Amino acid sequence: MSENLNFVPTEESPKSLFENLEIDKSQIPSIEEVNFTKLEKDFLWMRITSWSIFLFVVLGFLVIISFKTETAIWKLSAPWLGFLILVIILEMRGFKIKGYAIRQNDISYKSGLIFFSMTSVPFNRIQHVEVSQGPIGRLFDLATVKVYTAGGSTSDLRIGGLIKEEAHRLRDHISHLSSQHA
Amino acid sequence: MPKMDLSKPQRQSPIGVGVLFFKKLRVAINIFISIVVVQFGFQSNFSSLSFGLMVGGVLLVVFIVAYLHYRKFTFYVEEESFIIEKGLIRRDKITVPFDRIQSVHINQNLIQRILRVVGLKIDTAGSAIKELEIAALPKPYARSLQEYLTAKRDSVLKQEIEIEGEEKLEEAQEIVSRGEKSPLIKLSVKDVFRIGLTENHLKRGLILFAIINGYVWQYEEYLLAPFKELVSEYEDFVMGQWIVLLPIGIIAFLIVALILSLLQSLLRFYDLKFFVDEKGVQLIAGLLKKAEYQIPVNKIQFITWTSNPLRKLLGLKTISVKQAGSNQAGDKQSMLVPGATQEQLNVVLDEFYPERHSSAFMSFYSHRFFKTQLCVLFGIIPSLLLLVLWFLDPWYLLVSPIWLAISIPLSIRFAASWEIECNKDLIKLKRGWIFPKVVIIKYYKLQNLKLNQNFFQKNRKTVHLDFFTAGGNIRMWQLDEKVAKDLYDFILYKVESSNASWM
Repeated sequence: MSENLNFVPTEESPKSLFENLEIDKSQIPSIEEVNFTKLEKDFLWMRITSWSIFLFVVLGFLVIISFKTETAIWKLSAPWLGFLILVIILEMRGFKIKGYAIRQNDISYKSGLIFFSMTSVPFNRIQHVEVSQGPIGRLFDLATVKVYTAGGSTSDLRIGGLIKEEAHRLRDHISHLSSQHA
Repeated sequence: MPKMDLSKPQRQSPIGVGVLFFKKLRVAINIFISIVVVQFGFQSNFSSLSFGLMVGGVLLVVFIVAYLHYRKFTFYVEEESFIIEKGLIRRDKITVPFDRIQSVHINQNLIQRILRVVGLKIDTAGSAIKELEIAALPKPYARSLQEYLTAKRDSVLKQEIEIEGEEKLEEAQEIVSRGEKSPLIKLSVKDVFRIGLTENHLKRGLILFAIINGYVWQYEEYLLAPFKELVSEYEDFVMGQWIVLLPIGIIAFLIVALILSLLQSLLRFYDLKFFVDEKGVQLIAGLLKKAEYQIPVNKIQFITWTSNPLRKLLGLKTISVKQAGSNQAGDKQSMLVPGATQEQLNVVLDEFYPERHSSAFMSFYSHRFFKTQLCVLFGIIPSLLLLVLWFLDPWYLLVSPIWLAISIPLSIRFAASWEIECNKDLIKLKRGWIFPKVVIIKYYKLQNLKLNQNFFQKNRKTVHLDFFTAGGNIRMWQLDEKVAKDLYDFILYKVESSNASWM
């Protein structure tokens, strides 16, 4: 039994999943072939802004600490600035990966440079759709569309970085599609 | 439908004062004990008059609180809803529309059994409403209230369905009573003992250890103070003899864990009856608290079965039926049936998963990178750490290779045990070798899919695949990327093209 423990599909592997289940592969749409819509460029700036705010708050504390302990400020803050630069590089590269796609029967979202993930929610499983906007989002006029299913909070799909009007339009579109599929 | 007049607010049985009294008393005792111990220590004189007065005072206050709670607790029907009003200081009015009622349970704990009443609990479709429990009702009254509520719910749903012009009544119907039917699984006292003996003692023992540890530290000063001299006197002796004392400790630990397992399985599974039919499953069990629990067939999200080495010897499996529900409620969503034989499991599977015979399964295993990953995480890294400790004690030079020799084969076997099987209608996920677990899910019960790939996996071309259902999530680790993408497309297609309702 130990020889065939690893199923690694190669050219000579006899049957694919689809052949074995007698299903025509051309019938099944492939998520790989879908073009994902990129998010608004402002979303990148929004993310960088919120990281910067967080780091400046930390920097503020560091200044206080440096006064109290009489340590040089650059010794304390250099790692934090390095961290900010790293975060900005990661955000810029990661932004290219983020995107959403609406197909005939489902909606998908992908993201993550270091931890890539892709989620697809079929329209006939959507519980409700919601638009939300935080304080920093308001500055950039960006909103998030959240798609809820009964699969629990870890399974919810969130599309950040949409212009507010666009987000409302997308929400209406998704709820329309999901009510059609119900 | 039984005739009931619920238009006026009803109180529960006056015996409810008793039930509430003991419930509140338990809370009071917990607080009281902490205060007494912290305040006076164990030296306090428990027979003194002031202590007696204090106890009497607490009992009186608890009784008054219980009585007031009883007076202020009412339930009635208004329009199309069942309403409970309760609370002394903060008044709560809980409104449950009939169509939101999922099921009505009757249960009985020790106090209720002694006082000859039962509790009634209402499960709702929403997670927002909780604590819908009437503490004390005469059993016949509770039965008819249960029937009344389910009948009301069904008639409301029927009306709604007539308006919508659909034929979904079957889904709304439920099992009310299965008194005359014979159960699929019925456990005798002997069976319950066998289940208790074959429990996972290691796990239970560790939990027990954690609890005891927590309690001991909390009251350390008072508990250990009298033994302080004794301990310091023998400290050197005890430390020197740890090689002798360790096995004795482990044996004692196992015996305590065993006794606890026996007790728990007796309390939980005594006189267990498990019913299965086309409408769903029902479980009745318990020694002190007789719980009655049912899951209608359309609410079943998936079924798992597990075993362990001891149970395997007896040919027993534990079946767990997962129900749709909010994730916060945790384990309450699943029905646990221990002591099932393979034949009994097959009956359950044939009832709810006949599709497993309709087409052939195709299986996929985790990528071989999974073995490497587990070997590094649980074998190589810990043994290197142990090796580094050798300067503390040369013993570690011996411990490190032993750890390696044990953990590497275990990791490899465990990684190799992960398997996902698909046919046209369902997936089966198998994992574990010492503690095997199998999950079976129909495609249309899935809510959504997620594909995860971290930095390390990218080069190895492997992914984790997450399956989300309303009854919980399942992850398949380290699948080959190409296989996973084919599965992803295929399963999404199956979910989207199915008209069957997941609920």
